[in-house]
Amino acid sequence: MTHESAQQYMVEALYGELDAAHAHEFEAHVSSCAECASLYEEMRATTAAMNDRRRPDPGEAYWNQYYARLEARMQRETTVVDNARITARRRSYVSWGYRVAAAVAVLAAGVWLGRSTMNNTTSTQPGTQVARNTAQPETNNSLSPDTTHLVPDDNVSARNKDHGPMDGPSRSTEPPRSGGGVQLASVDVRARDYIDRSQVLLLELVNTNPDTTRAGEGEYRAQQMRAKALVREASTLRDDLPGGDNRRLRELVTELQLVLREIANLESQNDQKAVQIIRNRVDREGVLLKIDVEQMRDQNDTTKKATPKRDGAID
Amino acid sequence: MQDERELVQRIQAGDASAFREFVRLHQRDVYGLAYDLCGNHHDAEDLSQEVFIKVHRGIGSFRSDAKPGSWLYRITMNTFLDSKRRKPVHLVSLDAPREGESGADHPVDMPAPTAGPDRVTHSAQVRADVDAALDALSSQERTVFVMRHYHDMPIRDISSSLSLAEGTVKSMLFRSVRKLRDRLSQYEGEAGDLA
Repeated sequence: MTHESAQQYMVEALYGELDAAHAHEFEAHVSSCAECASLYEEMRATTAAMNDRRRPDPGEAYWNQYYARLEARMQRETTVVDNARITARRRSYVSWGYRVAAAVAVLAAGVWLGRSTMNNTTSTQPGTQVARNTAQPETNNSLSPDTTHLVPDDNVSARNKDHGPMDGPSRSTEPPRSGGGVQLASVDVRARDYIDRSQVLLLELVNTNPDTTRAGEGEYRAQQMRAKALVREASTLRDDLPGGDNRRLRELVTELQLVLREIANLESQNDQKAVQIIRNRVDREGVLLKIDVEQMRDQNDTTKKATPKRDGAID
Repeated sequence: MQDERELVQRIQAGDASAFREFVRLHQRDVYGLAYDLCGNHHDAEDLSQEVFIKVHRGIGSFRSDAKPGSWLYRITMNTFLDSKRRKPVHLVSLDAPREGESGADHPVDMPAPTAGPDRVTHSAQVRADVDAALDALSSQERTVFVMRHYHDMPIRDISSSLSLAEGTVKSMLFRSVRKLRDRLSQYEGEAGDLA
């Protein structure tokens, strides 16, 4: 038994949980290693000292009234929960109202954009002219002779002068780009990226069937290394996520960190029981579902940020 | 055991008196574990009540082949850890007198399960030091140590109850004992109780 493995077995030895073979091996090592013997003795003395702890008993009167106090609390909480449900239901109606309004607005914007784009491709609008792709026909054989491109009046000469005939449709009729509005703050981007990478790792774990999949040792180690890297990254990321709006995101990062730490701490690839425990935890706490919900929220946020720009184009 | 299962079945069938009986049967154990985890009477009462409320709401999902006692322990541990995740850390001065030290509120001392009669004579100072050392552990470390040391729960069972790998539980336990040793060593010369 090595120095390190002896320390690994120390707590089991302390509480008599080592099987006979390991216990014998451990005792042999401790009798020949002064450092381990000293540490083991210290730990044994500490646990003995912890037996001095007392737990005060609240007394018979307290126990006799325990159920009455519990019942009173249950009644209070039932009232609070009922009130909260009513409030939540009201909020839900309002929330659905906003959602429907937003959906209608997005739909209207989409229809308007679609119509305006269709109109632009089928008819010439005032202020534009048709530029035929006639120059250098030998180099543009792939293009149909009827290919036309809409460009604004004042751009035609300049473009032809600087770059020759246009070799693709002009984007000048598209609505203005949203610029910085759609761009996320860097910490947000890092958090999304973190969540995506964690999701991939968790899916690998959840979808691995121990009976049919034989992941190589190298692959398994790589997964552990990724988990360790993500655990380390989570600490920095959480510190960088400010409070308020990012609370939910920070909680998810914390939850992922706990699960990933479990993966990083797996002792062996064949420890299927430990892997199953992690799978159960992911399943029970709905970690993958929470990731999905967060990703959907992110998409919604991006849509919301993009929508006002289109509305601006309408006006 | 059979009686307990019948009790659970009666609760599942909506018998209010069965729930009262169930609470009376387990209130001391649940409070005891809650006290070991929280370290004070107020939080222990709050936690133990929360556990019974969860039992009342979730009794339908209780499997008939499981032991109600183990189920209660599992709920208590996880409710404690959840509450610690939600609540900010509450800092208490180590110099401040600990609850129960004066004996005014809770006059009767109940020895921890593994304590022998010779230990009962130890000074209040040593007890306070031991409590302070326990308070210095993180919530997870404290839970793992309390379950293994004071409630004799095997490492394997702690691992499945907390959904942690066994290796993680072992390393937490090892770290906890080392931390306790570091905290208590400063009083070693004064109290002379650690050898």
